[in-house]
Amino acid sequence: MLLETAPRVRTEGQTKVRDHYDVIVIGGGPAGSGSAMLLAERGLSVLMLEKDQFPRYHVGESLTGTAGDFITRAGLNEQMAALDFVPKPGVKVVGREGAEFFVPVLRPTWQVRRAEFDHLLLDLAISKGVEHVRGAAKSVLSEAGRVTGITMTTAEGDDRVVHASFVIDASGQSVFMSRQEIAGPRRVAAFNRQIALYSQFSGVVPDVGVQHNSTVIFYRDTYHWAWLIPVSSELVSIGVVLPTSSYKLRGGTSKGAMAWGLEHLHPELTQRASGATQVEGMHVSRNYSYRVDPFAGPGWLCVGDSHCFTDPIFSFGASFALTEAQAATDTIVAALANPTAEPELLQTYADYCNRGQGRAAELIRYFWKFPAFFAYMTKGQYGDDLVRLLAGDCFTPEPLAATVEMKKSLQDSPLLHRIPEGRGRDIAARIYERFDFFQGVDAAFLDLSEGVMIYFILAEDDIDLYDSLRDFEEQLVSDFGRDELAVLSFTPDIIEAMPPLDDAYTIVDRRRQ
Amino acid sequence: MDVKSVNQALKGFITDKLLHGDGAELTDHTPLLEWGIVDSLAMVSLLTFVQTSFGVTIPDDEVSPRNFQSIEALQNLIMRVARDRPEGADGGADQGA
Repeated sequence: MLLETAPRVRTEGQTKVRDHYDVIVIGGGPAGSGSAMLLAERGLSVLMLEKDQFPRYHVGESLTGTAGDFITRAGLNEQMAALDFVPKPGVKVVGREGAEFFVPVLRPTWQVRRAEFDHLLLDLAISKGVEHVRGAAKSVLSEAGRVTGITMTTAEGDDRVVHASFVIDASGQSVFMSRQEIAGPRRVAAFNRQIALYSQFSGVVPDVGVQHNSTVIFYRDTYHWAWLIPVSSELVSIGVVLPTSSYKLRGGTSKGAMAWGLEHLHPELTQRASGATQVEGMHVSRNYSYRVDPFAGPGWLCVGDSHCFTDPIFSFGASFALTEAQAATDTIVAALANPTAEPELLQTYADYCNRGQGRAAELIRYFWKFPAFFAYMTKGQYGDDLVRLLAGDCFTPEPLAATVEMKKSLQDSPLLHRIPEGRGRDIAARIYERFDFFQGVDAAFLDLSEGVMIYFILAEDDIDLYDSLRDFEEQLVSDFGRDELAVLSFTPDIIEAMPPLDDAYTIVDRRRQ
Repeated sequence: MDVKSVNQALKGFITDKLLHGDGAELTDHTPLLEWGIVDSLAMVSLLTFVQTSFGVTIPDDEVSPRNFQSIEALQNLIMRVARDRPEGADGGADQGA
């Protein structure tokens, strides 16, 4: 407990901001602190902006093995233990009908309270020479297409102009560079419309044996799940995640949905939380999977949530931020040493991030589409691969065999074999591949009698859903060409207006289930 | 054990146990997973059925969506496992597939 009582050496708010740095880092979460400390260790001058006074609350308490490695390299293990953070033994996944499996951690790692963990990283960055100032980035400076700095407002209200050889966006869900239209637009990851409610509880019944203190994931129907993560010897983080449509059905209040989740998601959750007391307010996140692309360019790049956020079911967020921070550091150090190589280095960085985030997304998609098969996969020859993937090893140059196998299953279906080979089948394959993310779409049909006509039957009339469908249509057009390609959507109230689809191919029809 | 008898036994089991007798539309290519005919609970009973009827134990590695997506895929899986692992097959299965 030494750390909690010892006075911290705070430089916060006292830094006199200079006019130029090698690197400006926007944001002081793990992506920002991680990048800033590694850059400072490599001898660069770094200014890190953070708009909030730390410690501040943040969700995402479970870390994977790659984050454990980072913590060990940073020499933080003793402090982690002193803060009463919890060594994580693994992840237990509990489904319906008694389906259950446990995946142990590959390397030691932790469950944390992010307020204190993020503060620990921020202080470590400062101790390495990073200059930290409380304030918010306002705009981006650029010259001849190259980002050369930012304007900012400090917490005291001073407006400043700061130049830098390189700017990192680690602003998290604020997606600063995207909002500044330097990076690409923030796009929702297809139709993944969920709402998450979470809080910390005391008095939760602990797991016993080797699974004591593991992350537990309880799932029910697709996209209905809950996490249970012990974050100290007393406190447990519990979150309930539902599709927005299901949230509305449960009364549309965070309190009601949390109560429903604790009661109905899984008997083990109900039992373990039965005597629990919620010790802080409820937190709510909505519509939360997105990507920003491109996310790197002349003089700038994004790290972590500022360019990609995926369904948090396997707790990749903070760990991926630290993995990307390492890659961003290597990229920037090399680019500053050899400016002519910068475009190529940035491309390599983007490919690296896309590879890792893409494999994580496939793993998650496979889990949701085939939960029972996922459980079998942990037992068979691919079991070791799953342990590695869940540890965060998604960035390897070549995909692991399990990833290749999962991808094949996600792409292959007898529904597609009925469609004649060619552009129509390729388009159908794309729809099929994405369909598990299509919440709010009940069915999809493909009519090839005149060009390629795609018919969607929607469960409800919903503006977000139309936005997502338009997004998807744009992607189809850019990949397959606009010629003779049309997408038509029908809601229940106008379903009579839909032409007969006798000759159409069914790609997915959830109304049968 | 030949392909035809495996096929018929699978169709019979799926019709009786999973479709409650209503197997009129069931073909070798019906998408068992997409249409929710085989869910996680049904999968376990299907594996038990394969074990008791054909003496074939499907290894965990082979329990994958591609092998369960249709009756055709399932029968190919059963024949292949019976051939590759004859010790698991019932009394020296017909190798004719």
